[in-house]
Amino acid sequence: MMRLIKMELYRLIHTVSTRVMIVVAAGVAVLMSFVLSVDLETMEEELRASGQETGIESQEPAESFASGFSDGWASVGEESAEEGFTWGITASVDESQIGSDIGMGDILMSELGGCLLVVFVAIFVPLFVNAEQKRGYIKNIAGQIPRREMLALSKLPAVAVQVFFLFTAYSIASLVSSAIFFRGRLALDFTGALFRTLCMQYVLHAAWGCLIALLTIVTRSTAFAMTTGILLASGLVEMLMIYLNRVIHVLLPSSEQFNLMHYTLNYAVEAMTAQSTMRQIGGFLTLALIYIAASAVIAGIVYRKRDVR
Amino acid sequence: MEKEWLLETRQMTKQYGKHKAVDRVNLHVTQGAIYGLIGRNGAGKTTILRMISGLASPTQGDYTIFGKASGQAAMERTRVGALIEEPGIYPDMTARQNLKVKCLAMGVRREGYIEELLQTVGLADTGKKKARNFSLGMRQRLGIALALVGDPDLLILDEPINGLDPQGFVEVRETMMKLNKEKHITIVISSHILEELSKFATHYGIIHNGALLEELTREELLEKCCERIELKTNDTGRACTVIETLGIRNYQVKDEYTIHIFERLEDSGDITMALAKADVKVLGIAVNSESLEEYFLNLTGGGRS
Repeated sequence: MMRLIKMELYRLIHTVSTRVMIVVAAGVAVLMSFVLSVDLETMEEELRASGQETGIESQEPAESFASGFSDGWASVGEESAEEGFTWGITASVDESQIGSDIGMGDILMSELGGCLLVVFVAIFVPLFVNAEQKRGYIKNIAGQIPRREMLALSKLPAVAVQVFFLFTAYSIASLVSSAIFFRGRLALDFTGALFRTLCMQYVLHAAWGCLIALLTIVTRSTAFAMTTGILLASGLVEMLMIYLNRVIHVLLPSSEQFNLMHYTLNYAVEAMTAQSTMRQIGGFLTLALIYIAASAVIAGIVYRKRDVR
Repeated sequence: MEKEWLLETRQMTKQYGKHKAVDRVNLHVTQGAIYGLIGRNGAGKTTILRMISGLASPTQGDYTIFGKASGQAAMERTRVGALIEEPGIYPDMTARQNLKVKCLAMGVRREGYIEELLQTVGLADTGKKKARNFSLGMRQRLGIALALVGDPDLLILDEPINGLDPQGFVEVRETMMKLNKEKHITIVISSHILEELSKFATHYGIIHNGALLEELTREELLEKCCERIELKTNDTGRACTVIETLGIRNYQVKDEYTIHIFERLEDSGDITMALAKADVKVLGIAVNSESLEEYFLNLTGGGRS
């Protein structure tokens, strides 16, 4: 098993898609910081123009900006408002930040909770996982590995490392670019709670990566896994979840409190904040571990039972 | 005592839906052989090779490899290197990096091992050239090098000479012969071109529509295809005596009425005269030969599918 993990890590480090992933993640982090700074400046100017002093709490709702995906999803947003969460990829400007220092932790949490990296994971994990199948390299090794399921299992630690690279690239680029765009206003507000949230977000993203790897392994299709991942991350399948919830409630009237969405990784990514209680964090951790374990078991069985093509 | 085969398949069958890609095939591969699996495109060669290299499971039947039944041969299969269909290589990596990936998977750490392999297949001077820029012949040789990682005792090569130019074919052929002779690696190789395989294979299995039509050694094949006098007579016993009095030693009695003579092909007139003098009736005499391709086509039903 360790040999196969080493092989996957070697492949991860030497593959072009890893380099592309790091560059894209860093580039988007810079772009997000830039847009955030422009957004804040615009809001401050608007407040100044309307004769108000900056730093006073505004009565207007904070303008949110998204990476383009959440536009036009009124219905999704509306439904989610009942749940208290916004689905889709978002990063919002906190009103309290107007005219005051900008917390680095707040920026990172906002962007992570906005599912931006979830989309990156959905794009780059299938590229990495399916390369072995697509290039036919699997035929060189599958016959000679005594327990073929190990080939599937060894991919999951590599996916976790890939997600770590993604997190690191994004965080560093975000930190550096925020320091540039916000000049002297950036506050490095790293606390224990923030660190805990970052770690938990990493675990949730790694679990998401394992789920995407499973989809890739089962379907042997990069395009399918990528598209499904992006649709799940952007909230487009939320309508299906709502429908399924209603079906469950009709079939089991006693399950009215049950909400399928609460058992999705996207929900956990959005709900996990620095303010989350230990009980909530425990729940998210359990959820992540269940997804990781289920992905490992199913992917292992598929590899063992299925002919190698 | 039953002969021990390095690889033996027993009624091995692979069915996809209603289509039988491989139908009750019984192959026998001896240690040290270069076993050529010949068949047209779609005959079932790749499916057989995929099964014996552990990439697919037979629907029915079984096989033994290194003396172990397929179900218990997980460890034995680590001794089987395979190149199935096109070489599976990462195009953005160099030859060395591609080999390093497999070395890590197989736990091979010996220093200089990769260089040795590159030397064996003639890719030692590729340096930092990415595999995407390799010629077809170079890719095939890299595929063979990948199959050689872990020093296998059995090498399974699926059409490694397909699409190669004459130079590439010679290179791959020489590599295989070197591996067979110097490293004593048993090789199972498939091709749809008998002429090419006949240059180095020691044993042959002819596959058609998923079934094994014939298994024969190199000598048996050459004998079937070489030029000879085919003599039909009513008394082969007396005919043999007459032939021997003429000094002919290289002949074979094929059946009750037929003798094949492999020397003095231009003396069929003298043979007929001698037989007539000895009162042996000649039913027919002709010099015949069959090319390897003709033999293969006749066996597989000519141009018909």
